[in-house]
Amino acid sequence: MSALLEVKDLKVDLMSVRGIVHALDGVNLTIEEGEIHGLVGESGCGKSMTSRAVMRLLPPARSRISGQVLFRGSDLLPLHEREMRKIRGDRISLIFQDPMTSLNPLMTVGQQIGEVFRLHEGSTAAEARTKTLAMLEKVGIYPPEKRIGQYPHELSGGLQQRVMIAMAIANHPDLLIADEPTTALDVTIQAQILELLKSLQRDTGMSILLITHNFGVVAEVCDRVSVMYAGRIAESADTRTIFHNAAHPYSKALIDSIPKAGGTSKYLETIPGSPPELYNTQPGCPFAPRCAFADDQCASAAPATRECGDAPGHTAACWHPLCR
Amino acid sequence: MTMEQQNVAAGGQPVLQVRDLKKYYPTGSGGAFGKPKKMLHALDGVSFEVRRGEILGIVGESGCGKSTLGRCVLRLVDITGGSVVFEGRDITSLPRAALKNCRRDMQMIFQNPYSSFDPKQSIGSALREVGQVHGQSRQQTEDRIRELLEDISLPEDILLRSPGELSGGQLQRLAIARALLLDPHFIVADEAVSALDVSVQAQILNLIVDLRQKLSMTMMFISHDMTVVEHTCDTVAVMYLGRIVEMAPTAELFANVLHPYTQALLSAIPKADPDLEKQRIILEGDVQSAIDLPKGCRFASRCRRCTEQCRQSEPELRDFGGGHRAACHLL
Amino acid sequence: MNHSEKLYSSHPPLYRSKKKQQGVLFTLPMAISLAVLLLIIFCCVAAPAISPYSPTQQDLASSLAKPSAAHLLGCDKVGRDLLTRLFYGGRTTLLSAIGVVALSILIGMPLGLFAGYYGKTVDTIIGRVCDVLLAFPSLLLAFVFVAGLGRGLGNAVIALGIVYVPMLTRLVRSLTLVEKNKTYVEAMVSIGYSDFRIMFRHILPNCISTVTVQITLDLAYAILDLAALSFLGLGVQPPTADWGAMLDEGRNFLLQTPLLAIAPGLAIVVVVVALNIFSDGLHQYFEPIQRKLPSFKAYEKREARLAQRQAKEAAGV
Repeated sequence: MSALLEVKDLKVDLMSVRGIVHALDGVNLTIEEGEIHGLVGESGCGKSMTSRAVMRLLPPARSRISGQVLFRGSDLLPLHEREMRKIRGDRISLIFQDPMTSLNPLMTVGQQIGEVFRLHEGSTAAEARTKTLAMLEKVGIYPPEKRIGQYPHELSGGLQQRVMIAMAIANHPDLLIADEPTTALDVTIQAQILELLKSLQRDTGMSILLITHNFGVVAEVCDRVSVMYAGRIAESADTRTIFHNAAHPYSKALIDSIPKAGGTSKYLETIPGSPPELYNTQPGCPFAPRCAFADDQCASAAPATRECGDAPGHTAACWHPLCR
Repeated sequence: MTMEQQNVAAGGQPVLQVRDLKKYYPTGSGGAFGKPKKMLHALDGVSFEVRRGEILGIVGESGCGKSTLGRCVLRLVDITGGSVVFEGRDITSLPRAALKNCRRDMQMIFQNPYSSFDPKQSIGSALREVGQVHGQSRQQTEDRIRELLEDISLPEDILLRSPGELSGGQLQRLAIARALLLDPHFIVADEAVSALDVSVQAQILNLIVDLRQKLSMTMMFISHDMTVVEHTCDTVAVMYLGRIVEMAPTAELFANVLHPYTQALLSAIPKADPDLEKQRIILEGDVQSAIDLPKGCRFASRCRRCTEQCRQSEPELRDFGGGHRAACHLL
Repeated sequence: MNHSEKLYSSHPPLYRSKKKQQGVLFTLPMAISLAVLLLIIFCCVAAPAISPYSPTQQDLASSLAKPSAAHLLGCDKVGRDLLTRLFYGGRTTLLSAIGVVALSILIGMPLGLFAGYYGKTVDTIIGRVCDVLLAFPSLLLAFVFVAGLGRGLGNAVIALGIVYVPMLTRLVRSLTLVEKNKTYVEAMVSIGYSDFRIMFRHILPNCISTVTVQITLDLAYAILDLAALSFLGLGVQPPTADWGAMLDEGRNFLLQTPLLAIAPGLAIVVVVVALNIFSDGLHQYFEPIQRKLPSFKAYEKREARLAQRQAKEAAGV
């Protein structure tokens, strides 16, 4: 299986009021065809930034990107905006966290989904309507004839998110990037949406890049996981390996700090200190100041990503990975 | 015996008694031309007790009324019906002036640590002001602040900082310190860890465990996250559309789930264990609005096992032994 | 040792750095406008010291004199030195404008806070009163008040101050509404703070930045409105020097001695424009999103120069 998306050494600098923020510092990510890939991390680690960079949605005046984003072998970064627009919504789609603010409040559901068909496939109004109805059924919005004429504010959060998903998969994209799609939703609705995503993936064979901070979601839905920290990928592996044999001290500490059912101690594992500010990147591993296993080498040189032998594709950016 | 057991055994007099609490909000539709004004039934008859040293968890999804419950219990809003008795005193309809004395004894910790503090005020000034408002001497307040900073493991120079310079975890600790400043007897934590990253959440939960041991804190822990509630609380109450549908000691509840909604809720939570195979109960449809409530069980429209009786009459909370109560006709 | 102590025994807590925000405080337009304003303020404050004559000193022999060594800007109809009257006139105009704004703040701010905080009846009453006041054009309303109170600069200031209240009240009210819904207000209520403490000690400071921007603009409007009132004879009474009154007098001599009208007119324009630019700069400072940020190259060049300088200093020491 050839890689659908290969991100190589992606670096993003942003100009802010406090100076240059090195939001991404060499991100390496590989997503295969038909894979659900989870991108996990805490706030500020750069996971949302990665999705924006891949889709080229960053403001050009205030951002600087370098590296490569290979989609089916061709680099997206040097593409002209016109060509990029053809890819967005058609080959790669993005769904956002808060559906209420992501949908246009002044257009009906039907108009918004129909727009996707008209833009990318050149459908007429009638064709778009038929396709929209089919789409609404596919994402589980019933009854479609009633909902097609409604405005976003008339729908609940779960339904709004389904509309967003409908818009995103309307053109059968190869890759769907879902940026915290269920964080703003109730747990029972979250379960519905995750089931929907899984079934859509089974039907269409598209890949999904699922960005979340919730390890439970990752465990349920994802085939492979990449853990991000301070703008870099700390570790990448398939889901079982990450949970049972995490190699990077950060991943391990993060998973250990989740309250688990039937835990023996009342105390949870914690990670001392806070994530670094991304203004002046220090030499060495960004996690070193907080790591229990850090030494001088960790503080002076940024670790290279190395393979851990225990599972295929298990890599960690660490001088002393726990798998050794 | 653990500290909790000691407290509960030694004449665990209820710190808080809530009986048939109701809170309705007028919705602004209707009311003209003789039509009865529509009410949002945020809380529709909630009853429970919290004993000294106990941590009661309140779980539910949006619209279940848990946040409203927290605010009613602290009398931050007016109560439409029922009663709230705090340490033997009925505070249901006390006027604001009389409530001020009560405020010392019951405090709240909020969800978003950044907006919990005045962004233009330094932390030290904010903490000292609390003492000032309640007539503590400056020296007394200073000593108490120093004590609390040690408890929450933050250095003294943090008092010079303003909220924007601190991280979410640090601020939430300071919010806890602020709540503890006047030695309250009861604390309501309204989604206190929901806005925090997982590793920071763990720090705060550990802190709560520590403080609880040291100060035998009585707490009402509101959350939508059942795993956190399971980890932290002694008793859990599950709410749906303004009523408690199930309530039990934590271990008992998770070992022996009775109410269909609780079962669905538990199965919906994504567990951080990829090996776990489970029967997922996926609920159909969305949570109803609390305005036009149908007669009968509130969960009837989404419940898989709903019967005719469920649609006709509303089930009451019944005792099933071991402190386990649930409101369902099918049990 | 309690569990949380283990956290910070070996790792000091990291604060968000108080790294200096990239200044757009002193951009060129803002610096220039500030310099102009300070210059004018200085001239007006030091008027007694730097004026060659007294503003009311008449010298009929030099009536409508052209600019000369003795009178740098010439004289008016009754021989008073124009430059002197410009300085003294500035004093009057600026001071009364400040008076107008101060009065509107004194009344408008508390009203806005109460209306926003208490809502319901209080809000309705204050809102209706403001609506009535706002329904009239400001100058017309000022006329009505001055007619009622009588002519004179003091009454004009009071009248205009009252006229400016509704806009400030509206602004403060909407800011209060935003702040009131924030968690910290609820937290303070739950701790038992009094309403007054919350309003004046906490909500007010959070509104200050937006109000300041509005105030600098209001100063400009006040100058214009006061000039208009004096122009119409309702404000300053002769022989007090005031830019508006001078504009009125100079109007009659536009063909012979245009400087008599142009000088005060230009003074008004310069101050108003400078205030507008300054207020704009303040707004940008308070709203970081609106700032114009340097390009990457410019920023990095600046940082490199800074680092070089620091290295030299360190080596030199």
